[in-house]
Amino acid sequence: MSVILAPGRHRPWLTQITLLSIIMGGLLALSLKTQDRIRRDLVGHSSTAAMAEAYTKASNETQQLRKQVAQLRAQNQKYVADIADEGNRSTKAIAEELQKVNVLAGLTPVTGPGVIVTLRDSKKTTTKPVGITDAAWQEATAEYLIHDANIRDVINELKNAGAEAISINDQRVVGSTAIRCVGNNVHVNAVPTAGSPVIIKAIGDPDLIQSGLLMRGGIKEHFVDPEMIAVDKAETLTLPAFSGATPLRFAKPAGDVKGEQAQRQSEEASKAMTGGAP
Amino acid sequence: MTIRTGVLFPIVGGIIGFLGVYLSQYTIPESLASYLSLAALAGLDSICGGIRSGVEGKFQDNILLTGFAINTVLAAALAYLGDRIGVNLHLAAVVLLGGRVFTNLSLIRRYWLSQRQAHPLKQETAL
Repeated sequence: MSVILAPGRHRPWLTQITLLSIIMGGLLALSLKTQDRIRRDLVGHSSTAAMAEAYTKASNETQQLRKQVAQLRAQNQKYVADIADEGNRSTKAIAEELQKVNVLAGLTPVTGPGVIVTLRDSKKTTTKPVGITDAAWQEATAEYLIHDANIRDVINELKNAGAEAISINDQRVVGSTAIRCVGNNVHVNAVPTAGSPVIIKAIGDPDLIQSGLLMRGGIKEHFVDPEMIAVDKAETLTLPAFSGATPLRFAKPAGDVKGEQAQRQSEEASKAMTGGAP
Repeated sequence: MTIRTGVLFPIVGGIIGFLGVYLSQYTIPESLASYLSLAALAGLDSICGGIRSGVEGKFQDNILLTGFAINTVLAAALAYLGDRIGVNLHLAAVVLLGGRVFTNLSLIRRYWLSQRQAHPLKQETAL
């Protein structure tokens, strides 16, 4: 050994220690690598800080991807518009139809007259009486706050009054939109937005929509404090396009035979209703 | 050859071993990871102890070799036993081994400083 390694000639112990150091370095490296891998694998079980970090990273990524989706959609719309302008008659017809369908589906930004509905938590405040539990107090004051159910009611009312496009806190409402309270936020299209005030924009006939919302016995009277809902007409509103993904994993267009059957059933059902209960 | 140049050899050796394993693809199962960490700590302790006895002139090769082999295995085995019987022996091993590493390092430092003060000229010529 001491012939091979220079330190051995004078200090034989250095040779051994050097050899053992190599082994120890290997052990340390193996341990470090394994711990690193565990840290990577177990984000779900690790500390809150790591989870928060992962969450921030993921939500940043989501935001970027949404931006990308919006960009690609805009590009796509442009191509369709180009085809509508320049193509031959049949492609033109298809492109124009596609544009119309995109507007209906909420995949294009739209602009037009309408109303802005603002929902906010009631400003009436009272102090908590003595001798009442937190839970009971929370329950008693619940209807002074805006909940997802209130928003859904308003959206329903807007649609009933003929709104053609709706957005909640600048998230476009489409067929697949879900509106949920999560803590103090309202999640629309799975995007967290402000819980109060909630700003709902709807494009449609402003007078019709306003009177639909404010009519006697209408939605305004569902709120304990009338100041929780405000309806303002607007000359021009511009609503953003839906920025989420639109995958279709289960639903497929039905074939001719099945489709006709379903259609017939639907017609019969509506006929029966109008006949039976006028 | 002085302690100043000589001590480079274990350090370089450690780095070589570290890089050699670190750049490979190999890792061990998670359930064994904490025992491996302890074994690595025990190895570090043995080496520090070895260097210390070396600089003090009390080095005996069989003590270092058996110490390294047995301490690494024993640290891991004790921790494993502790896990099985619900006593956290990890902590005991970490405290003991960590404390010894610190003690040995400080003794090596003292020895090195005193040597420098005693023979400043010898230092220069050796370099």
